[in-house]
Amino acid sequence: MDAVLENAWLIPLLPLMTAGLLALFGKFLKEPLAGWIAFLSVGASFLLSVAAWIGVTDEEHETFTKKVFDWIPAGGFDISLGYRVDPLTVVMLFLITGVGALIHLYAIGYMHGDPNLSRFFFFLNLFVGSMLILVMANNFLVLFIGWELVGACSYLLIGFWYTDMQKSVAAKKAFVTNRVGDFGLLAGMMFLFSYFGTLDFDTIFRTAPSVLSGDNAWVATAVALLLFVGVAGKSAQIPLFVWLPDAMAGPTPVSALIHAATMVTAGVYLIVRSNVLFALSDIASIVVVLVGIGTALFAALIAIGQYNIKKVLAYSTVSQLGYMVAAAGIGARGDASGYVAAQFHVLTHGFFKALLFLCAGAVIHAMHDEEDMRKMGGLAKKLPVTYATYTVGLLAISGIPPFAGFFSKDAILAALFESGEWWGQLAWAIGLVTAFLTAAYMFRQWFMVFHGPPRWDAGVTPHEAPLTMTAPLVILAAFSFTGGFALDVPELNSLLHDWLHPVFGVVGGENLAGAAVEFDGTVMALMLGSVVAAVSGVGAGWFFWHRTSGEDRATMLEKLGPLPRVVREKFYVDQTVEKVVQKPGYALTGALATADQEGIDRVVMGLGGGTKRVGEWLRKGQSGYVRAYASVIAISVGLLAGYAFARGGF
Amino acid sequence: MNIHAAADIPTSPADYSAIAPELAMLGTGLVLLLMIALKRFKNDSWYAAIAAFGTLFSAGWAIALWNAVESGEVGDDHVRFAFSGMVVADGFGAFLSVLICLAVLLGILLSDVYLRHENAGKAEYYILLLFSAAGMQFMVISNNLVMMFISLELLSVCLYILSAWHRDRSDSQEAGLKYLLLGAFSSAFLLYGIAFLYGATGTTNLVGFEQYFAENVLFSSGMVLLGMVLVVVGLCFKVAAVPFHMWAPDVYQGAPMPVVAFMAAGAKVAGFAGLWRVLEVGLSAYELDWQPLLWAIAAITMLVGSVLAIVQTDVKRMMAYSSIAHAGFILTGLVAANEEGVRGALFYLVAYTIMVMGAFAVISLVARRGEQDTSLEDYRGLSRREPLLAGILAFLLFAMAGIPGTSGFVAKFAVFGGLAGAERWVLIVVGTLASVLSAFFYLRLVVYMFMEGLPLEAKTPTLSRLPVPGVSAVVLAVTVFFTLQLGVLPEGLLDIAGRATLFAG
Repeated sequence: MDAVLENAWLIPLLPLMTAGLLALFGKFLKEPLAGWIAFLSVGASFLLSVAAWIGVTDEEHETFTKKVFDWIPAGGFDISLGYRVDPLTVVMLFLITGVGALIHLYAIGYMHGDPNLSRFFFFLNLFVGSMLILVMANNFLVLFIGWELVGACSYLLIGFWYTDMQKSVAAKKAFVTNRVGDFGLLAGMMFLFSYFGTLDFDTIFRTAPSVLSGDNAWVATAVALLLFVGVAGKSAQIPLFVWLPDAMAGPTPVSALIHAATMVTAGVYLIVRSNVLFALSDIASIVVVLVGIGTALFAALIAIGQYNIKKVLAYSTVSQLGYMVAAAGIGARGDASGYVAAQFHVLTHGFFKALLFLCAGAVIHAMHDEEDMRKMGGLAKKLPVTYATYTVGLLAISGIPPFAGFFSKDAILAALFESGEWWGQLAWAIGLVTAFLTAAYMFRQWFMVFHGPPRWDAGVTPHEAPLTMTAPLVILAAFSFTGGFALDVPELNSLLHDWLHPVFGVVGGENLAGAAVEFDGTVMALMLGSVVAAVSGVGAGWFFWHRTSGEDRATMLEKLGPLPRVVREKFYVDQTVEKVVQKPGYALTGALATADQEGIDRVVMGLGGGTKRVGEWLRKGQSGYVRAYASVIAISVGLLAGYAFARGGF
Repeated sequence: MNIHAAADIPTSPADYSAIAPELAMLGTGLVLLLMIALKRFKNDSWYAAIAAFGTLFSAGWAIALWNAVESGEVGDDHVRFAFSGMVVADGFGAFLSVLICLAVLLGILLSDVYLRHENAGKAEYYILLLFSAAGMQFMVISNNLVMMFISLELLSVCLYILSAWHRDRSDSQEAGLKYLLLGAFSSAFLLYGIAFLYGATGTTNLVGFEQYFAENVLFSSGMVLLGMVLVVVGLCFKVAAVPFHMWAPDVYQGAPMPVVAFMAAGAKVAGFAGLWRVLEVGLSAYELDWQPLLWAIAAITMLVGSVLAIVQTDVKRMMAYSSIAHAGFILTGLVAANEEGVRGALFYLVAYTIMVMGAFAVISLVARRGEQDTSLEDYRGLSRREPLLAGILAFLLFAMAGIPGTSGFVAKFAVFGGLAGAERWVLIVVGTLASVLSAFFYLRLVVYMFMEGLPLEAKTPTLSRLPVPGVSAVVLAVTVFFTLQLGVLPEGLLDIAGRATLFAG
């Protein structure tokens, strides 16, 4: 299968070429055609991914890397562009092209009638191609290129309906937050480059344990923390998570593909990929685990108070990403295999969250673009396919065995508990509470949307979505059911674990994949704990939101006193961020501008009442500014001369 | 660092081949001057064409000089002094000389379009442009502070007049006057600094400094350092480094667009070359003293330029602050003071020259007659009206922001690589922060063009299509091509720049 791997660059190229085609000739492609072309290109990439998978299997899990060309080879640099196919890449390829293809199919139905359809598919295909570049990178630079491109696509798609002011604001929020993350990633890359002289994955991960030991041990911590800033931006962790819920302003297929199943897991992928770097630093691990699990709990609490059907899912995504990050952070401590658990949850979450979002899209579609759950209810009979598939997704995310989410979430909790570290076990306890909350808010949504008396606006006549939309739902539901036990079950099945094993680095003679989980008393107790948490969450959801009638159910939270209000107001996070970060930011830049252009002018002319008059008089002649500028030069020269005397003396 | 040690200063001959590119540039200017006296062409484009050919001729000489340096024909160390050590023929000078020719050539093409549709055409414009370019070229080969000062004045005086060229726009007059006043002010500091250095060492020759410091031990270096600081001030003014940048936004906003583009690129090249020659050749003995100075200037220049660009609402003003920020990035290459850093700075200068010329070509077209439409609002929904122009400008802005795949990224990467080699971590972090900040305002403009709809209350509801003259199309094609080419295949230029760093000989 060498030929397949040699030509694996086609996998990202197909969607990218289609994107180019749509960009150039989109105008001439009539409505469904643009969508079908886009869908077929992603489908073809999926088939190639299958071939790549077989290729990697044949070479006995060997890593295949290929340099495409030397980019900046002169002098001290060694930067080349190349790709890498290994078991981890293959897993991500399946997720991106598989789920991606289904969502493209769904979007053909969902975006029906949009005047900018070909532009939409252009962005969507560009995204898929960029995401594939990200996961197929063989060095940090290529990964960074993909990382930036997916960010740009996300930005473009959130603001797709840019006539809507709110959506364009959401797009900007996403952009600003992600720049903070990118800064961390870039700075981490700079460190790596200066210590390793290359950004190549193979070299860095192989030599890291020896290069970053002794006096250089702090570098591992610095690099891991800087990379984690990037992770926090992309994977929406505290405090950079604020953009993700607002990103739901984009079309629903975008939310499903980019902001639930694939792009936001790029951060988790980065940690798993750089497992060696994170494993070398305890401090970084503690930070990652606690931030991750904190995010999980925090977002789950916020989700309970939301009324917008997509916002609930958005906060739920943030929460689930928190789980993944925590698992990736705990890594290989104890006997655990946190990296595998994290990647496992990336997969299962990709299935069920994409499913839930697409179901939400079908509901919104049926309700004529209504997103407020207080105006839904009683949709079970009207939308039977959506209802059934949503229920599968619901059971999966709530962690009810034998659905997919149960196994992956249990693997994460087990990894946290069995790490043997206090912070791991603390995270486990928080994770258990979060599991309870997850089941509760998801069942709340289920009851509010599908059960109880209808609370629809007048004139709304819900109808089931067309086949292009329901077929992806059914397929994703099948994966959400089987995706867990088919991949990894303690003792019985270690498919994913064995598959990913060769991806991990070796630190201190031990492979970071950890041992495959064996079934013993602890594991059984932990599983039982997870199930109890999930089931009681379901009970709570039922207790609070099933028995009461429609209106009461909706206003239930407000009657419970101030705490739920705090929860519904998202702990005032948005307001606080605005006050603490954005306003001072504007104030600072504003102040600097004033200082630069006017303040100094004033200082020069002297403070007091006459300043303004003198300033205005000078403004007429326009020469006052020049004098002010000259004064700045003179003052600076004075300072520099002071420096010269201080250094040299006379 | 002992660079030109083998020099034979006093007896170096009047070697015209060493200044052939400059002579070609000046000569073309004189030919134009004569032509005006004898006969006037009806169509000003003829003058542009002659100026362009002269520039190509000059570039040809510079390339020939480069080849001579490369092949070792000029001397044992790939260096030859001429005119009593006033000028030097080496790779560094030849490289930048070619770059200046490129800036002039693109500047002429932009000017031709601009002058015709502003009706401000005069052959004298091109004469000033060529003389200014000759000043820049002399500057990059100067080996003597007096020579350097005269070159700087030649280039500056021409630029002052060019800034005020547009007689119908009071902004332009204002820009010229401000530039003149502040430029004269800073030149005084430069001259004062030269006097101090002469007082301390008894020479104004850069290689002479080096020899003097190698042979003598000074009781106190205060006088040298004061001279150094003042020279740095004078040159930093030309590259618009903070805190000597305050003229730039006003002048950029007022001066005619092609002049701004030419000034942004050319003056930066000249100022940078002057700094590097003075500091690395003349004052290499004081490296530990000037490095912290440049470090601080580079850091605040990057930050102030990036931060203040964010609050601008006028595109020309924004480009001025962007130019300031770029000056900071280029200076980091000097702070590193190693081969990678200087190579990065040289690469950066080439990349920046190309990017800024292309960007101004678009801005000039969008602004229309009289440079009216330069506010951010005028770019709202540009992609609807002019998808191709908007796409080109977006690409060039991406390059300026340093997005991978463009020359801007490789340039930043290259200077930071030099800093990493010199273990200047803090400056790397500051630089990364500044480049992240600067992405805001570049991309904000892109957002205005692509994501914001047409203005709610458009000034002119039905804006006509923008005519794109053939000459502008050539400039755009060239700049986009090279920005992409240097981003994807930077090896060739990096290699050449590496041989032009002054370290090679």
